[in-house]
Amino acid sequence: MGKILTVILSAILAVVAITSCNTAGCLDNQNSVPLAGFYASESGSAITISALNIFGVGAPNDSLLLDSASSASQVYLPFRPAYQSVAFCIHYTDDDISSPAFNDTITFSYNAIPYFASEECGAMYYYDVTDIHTTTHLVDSVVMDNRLVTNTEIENIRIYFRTE
Amino acid sequence: MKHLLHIVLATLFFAIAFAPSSSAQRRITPVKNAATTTMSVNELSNDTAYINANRRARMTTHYTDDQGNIVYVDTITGEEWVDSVKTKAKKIMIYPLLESVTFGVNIWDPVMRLFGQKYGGAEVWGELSLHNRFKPIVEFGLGTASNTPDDGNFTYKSPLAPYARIGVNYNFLYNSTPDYQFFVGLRYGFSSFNFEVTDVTTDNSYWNEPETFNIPSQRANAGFFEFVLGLKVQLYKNFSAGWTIKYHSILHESKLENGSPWYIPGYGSRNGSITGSISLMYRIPLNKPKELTLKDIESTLPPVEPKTDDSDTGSTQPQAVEVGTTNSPAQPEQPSTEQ
Repeated sequence: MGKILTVILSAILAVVAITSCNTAGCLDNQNSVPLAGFYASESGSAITISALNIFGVGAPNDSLLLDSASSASQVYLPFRPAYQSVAFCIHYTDDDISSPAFNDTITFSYNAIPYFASEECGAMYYYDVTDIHTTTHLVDSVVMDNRLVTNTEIENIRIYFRTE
Repeated sequence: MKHLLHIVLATLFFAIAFAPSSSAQRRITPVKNAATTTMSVNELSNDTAYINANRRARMTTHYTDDQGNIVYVDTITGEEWVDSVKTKAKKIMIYPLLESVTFGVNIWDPVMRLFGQKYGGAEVWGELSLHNRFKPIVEFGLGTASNTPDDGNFTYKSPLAPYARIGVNYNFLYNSTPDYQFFVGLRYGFSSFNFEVTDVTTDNSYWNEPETFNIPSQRANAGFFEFVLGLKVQLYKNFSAGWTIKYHSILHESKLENGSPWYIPGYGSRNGSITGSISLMYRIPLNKPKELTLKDIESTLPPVEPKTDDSDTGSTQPQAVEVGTTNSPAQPEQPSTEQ
């Protein structure tokens, strides 16, 4: 009888241990939002910029993704799953280039893919970027090494600015 | 009268004087060597090999060969031999090859559902006991899942699907009663199943475009392995209970565009690498264990060293016991038959 009791107690301990050990939590993001970094086209090094606004074309209330009041070296550029492309406008606030004529627009074309990531992170859209188009007033180029945008917290996009 | 007294005294004198002399003729001179020492304390005194072994134990050096055997070297004769005591003894299988079959029901999933598990099903298994030591096992089950996490944005459903595992257990207590077992095992499991993710809601706050979508039913396959550690105890007669704790990992699975399944029947959720089982089982004996004979026990002993050659035994043979005077020959010469 003592052996049976030992088995039962050890089984309960095993259950408790297993149920408490198997919770990992979401270690990535719960959405797929591409992260863009700013770089100098001449040197290729990362830069921090304070004199620009970035907003999505057609965003409600023209709300900003990046305000010139704060300096930044990266910005999130959320895609629109209901559409197959999205455009973002970069407005420079320095006096000599503050005219809308100097604005740059970056357009991403993509396929939105419904994706189940995990129990903790949930389901979301992944984006398979098929094309990138940009104006080149102050933007030199836009580069994506991996065209698949997932919920992994990495810098997906590199925006190179002319810094001379 | 005086003459008679002299005769009596002379007789007594000779009696006393010659009595010790007669005793000396019968004296046995003890010979102190390895053989006679062993002879006095051991029934194996006539076994020359045993005597030699004792002598060697005192007069040898040793080294370890490539196979890990301890090799002794007789420093007198140069002879080498392996220490048979260190060699592995033959193991007896008390239980017959086809010892029993056991059928069980795994109640792990119902128990875990009490702890809030969102998946599970039913599982039965059958195990064949070979010598009560090696236990090939097959496990069949049906699994299903339905999960809507409180802090999640989806409902995951996997309809009832079959799975199977095949493997083997090794019982450490193989010469003990089969009613109590402590074992390790390996399994390979496989399942083919469907799953779907519905009612997915995404909050695209910047664009103010909340989205709802479904990932339709997808067909998937997965194979996995398990390392098992467990024990079983008898409850009543042939009824037993036991539990295992398992480390498992996915070996292969379908590559799907819309994501990997959260639940795999037979494996469980892919959240963790540790799981378990709790089983109730019934054992059907097939053959009775054999009763050990003296011969069986002797067969487990290390092999007896063969007797050595004459040159070796010659120097250690017990010397002949001398009888009579010290000048007498030990053995009388046999008369020659040759003419």
